[in-house]
Amino acid sequence: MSLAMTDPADAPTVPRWKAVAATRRGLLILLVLVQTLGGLYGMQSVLPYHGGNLLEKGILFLFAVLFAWISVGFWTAVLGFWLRRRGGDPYSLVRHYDAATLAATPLARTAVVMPVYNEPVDRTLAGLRATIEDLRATGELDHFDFYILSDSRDAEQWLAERSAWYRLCDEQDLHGRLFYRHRPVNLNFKSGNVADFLRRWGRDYAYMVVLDADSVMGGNTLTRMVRHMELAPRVGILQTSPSLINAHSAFARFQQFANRVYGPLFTAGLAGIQLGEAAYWGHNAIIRTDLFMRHCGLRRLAGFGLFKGPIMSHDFVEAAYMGRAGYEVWMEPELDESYEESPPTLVDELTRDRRWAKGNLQHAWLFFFAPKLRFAHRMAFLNGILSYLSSPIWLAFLILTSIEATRLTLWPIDYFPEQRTSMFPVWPEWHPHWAVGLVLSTLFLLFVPKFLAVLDVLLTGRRRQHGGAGRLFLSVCLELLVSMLLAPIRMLTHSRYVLEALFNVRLHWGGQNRTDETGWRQAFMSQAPGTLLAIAWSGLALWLDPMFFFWSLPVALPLILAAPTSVLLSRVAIGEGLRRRRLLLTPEEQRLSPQVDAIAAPRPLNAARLTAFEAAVLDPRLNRVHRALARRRRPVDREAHEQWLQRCMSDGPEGLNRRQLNALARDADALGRLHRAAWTAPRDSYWGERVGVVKSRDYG
Amino acid sequence: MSDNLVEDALGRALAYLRLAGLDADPALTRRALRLVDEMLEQGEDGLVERVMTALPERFPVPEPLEPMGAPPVHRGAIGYGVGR
Repeated sequence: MSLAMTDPADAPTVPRWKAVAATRRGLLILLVLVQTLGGLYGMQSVLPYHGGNLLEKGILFLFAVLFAWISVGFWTAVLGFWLRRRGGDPYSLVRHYDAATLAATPLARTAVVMPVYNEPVDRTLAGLRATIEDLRATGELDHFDFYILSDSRDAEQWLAERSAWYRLCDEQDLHGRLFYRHRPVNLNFKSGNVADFLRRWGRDYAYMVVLDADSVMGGNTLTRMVRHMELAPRVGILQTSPSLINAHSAFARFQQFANRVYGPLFTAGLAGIQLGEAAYWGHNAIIRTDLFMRHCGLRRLAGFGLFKGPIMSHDFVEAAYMGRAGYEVWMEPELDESYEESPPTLVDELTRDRRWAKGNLQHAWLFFFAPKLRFAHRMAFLNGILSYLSSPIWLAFLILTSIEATRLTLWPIDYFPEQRTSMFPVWPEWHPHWAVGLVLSTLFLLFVPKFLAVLDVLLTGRRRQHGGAGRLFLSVCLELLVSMLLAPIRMLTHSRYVLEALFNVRLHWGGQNRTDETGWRQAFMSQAPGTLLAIAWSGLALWLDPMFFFWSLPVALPLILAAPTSVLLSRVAIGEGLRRRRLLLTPEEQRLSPQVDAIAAPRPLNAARLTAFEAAVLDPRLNRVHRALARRRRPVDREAHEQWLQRCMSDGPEGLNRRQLNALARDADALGRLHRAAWTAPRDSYWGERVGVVKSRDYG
Repeated sequence: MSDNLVEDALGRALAYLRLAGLDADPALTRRALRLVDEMLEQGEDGLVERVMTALPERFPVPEPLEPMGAPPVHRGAIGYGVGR
């Protein structure tokens, strides 16, 4: 029996971490405030009228928000560095129990669930296979069941998933333990998918581990997580900090390198600030199912526009609701062997960010109006909101400073501004040394965390994991250059996403691309607005004042170069070339890791020469499997259904649309009739030719 | 008689049996050939259809394990909790 049902009210004392968290957060707020006030004073001194007019007041306000924002990142990294130098956070959850206690704790029934939506089948299931095989190696596989929860819409996709699932069951001898559920109606996106699982089977499991389609987790990590949950009944969610792996394109390898070098510092700092009130990131986490089912249902938002309808980014909200119910949410960077992948290209990352931007901005409603949320979780909402809102704030800051420069160059000096009540004139003052100091202090806040992270790598003896000190230094320099090139592109794109979100532009929920490179045409088309804007802006700056032109270059130049940057970074050849030169190396690229090897070259589960639909029709075993799992209801419009079937029998599936193909693929009788018709079809017909493919010895 | 027709019927039968999980050894090939020969005695028209229809009866194929897409449902509800 699981220990999971304890009520937190029964726990004897207020946990000690709460006082520590309050102290750390108080200190963080104080440091950020003082630093921001210092920066604000510097900025006020730089401005010619010292904030004496509306324009400069606007500049000062935006500057304060941005400076505070980077200050938070700076102090988080500093805390992370300090905690890591101390050998880890003594107040973290994983330090509560020693190894012997942990090892003696029995496991409880746990479901490992993988929601998927139009993902590459072989790669996705290779991750699940690697997780299963690693769990088997621990000898504890019997405590776990596995669910592939598909929301895929195209018959071609979900038939491929189901065929691959069946073969994986065969291969792993997991029939009756590894399940596949396809949901024809994608109500409420991913959170709806998981909720559907919970409604049907949640009561069967003490815990649920949620994986993303590109997740892989180690068996020992999973068993440790279950034992920690068993030992700490106050914990509702335990989140790992996934490492990026399996990167091939240059873009993904830069993200992967940054994640492995800088990530540990930031996650250690973040975990140290949040402690038992951390966020849930939606995957690579374990959840106490009964608490989640009781407290973490997501009501539709009742506001207006963006703030009306289903919650898109569910994970932060679920963590906040778990906290509101009195339970703890922990993020534990020390739980290793937790992996995911980076989007392969900038275009893919920005496509994903479009969804995330809207989802995070939607949290503003909950930030203001959700009752009884914990302060830390409101701050997590604010953090998510500012992750995207900081982009238009930066853009607005650039616009206002450009207006200021234009005004000072083209307009006469205003000695008696309107807001001024004094009878003495206001003389514009110039303090170039203040401006340089301000820029240096901003660069300090941005780059010192990265240098601390490198120092941490050196001090913890991890330099060889990144190719040695020289290669590490060179890789960091390259990463800095690329991150400076990417920052303005992300800023401009995120600004557009924020505007789209605020005007509630409807989004298409698409699966992620995890393989393709970006073409030149696609890159020029998507980056053209930013490039043209940057050319116009830097041209204006040059016309106004050469000095202003030079100031504009760090932002304008990356935008002008956005298309080639996007294309070149998407190239696998460049990413692999850097790897051959031992640059941007990560530990998993150098040492054998069964989980990483398994997904680097996934063993195919579907035969390549037929489409999934054709295989479902022709392959006798697969046809039987799909018929067994298909509906046996009579179709609503039998006449139309029969017409589609006859068309498919004579001309194949290509003439049918998605709805028609889905209808046939879900119908056991139609699949059976198609099977018989295909095997007896004339040689020169569509199905006769496909039988010809199957007849060749190398098929299957 | 069309050689291609017989070849096609035999090829289909062997492909079907291989995909159904039977090893395509010489003995199986000879049995399949006998089936085609037998069906051919009834004429060329509809040869493939007769061969493929007779195939499951004449060649008992290993039954694939009945797929279990999901365990029995134990329905629960999602609650919305309240703040303490």
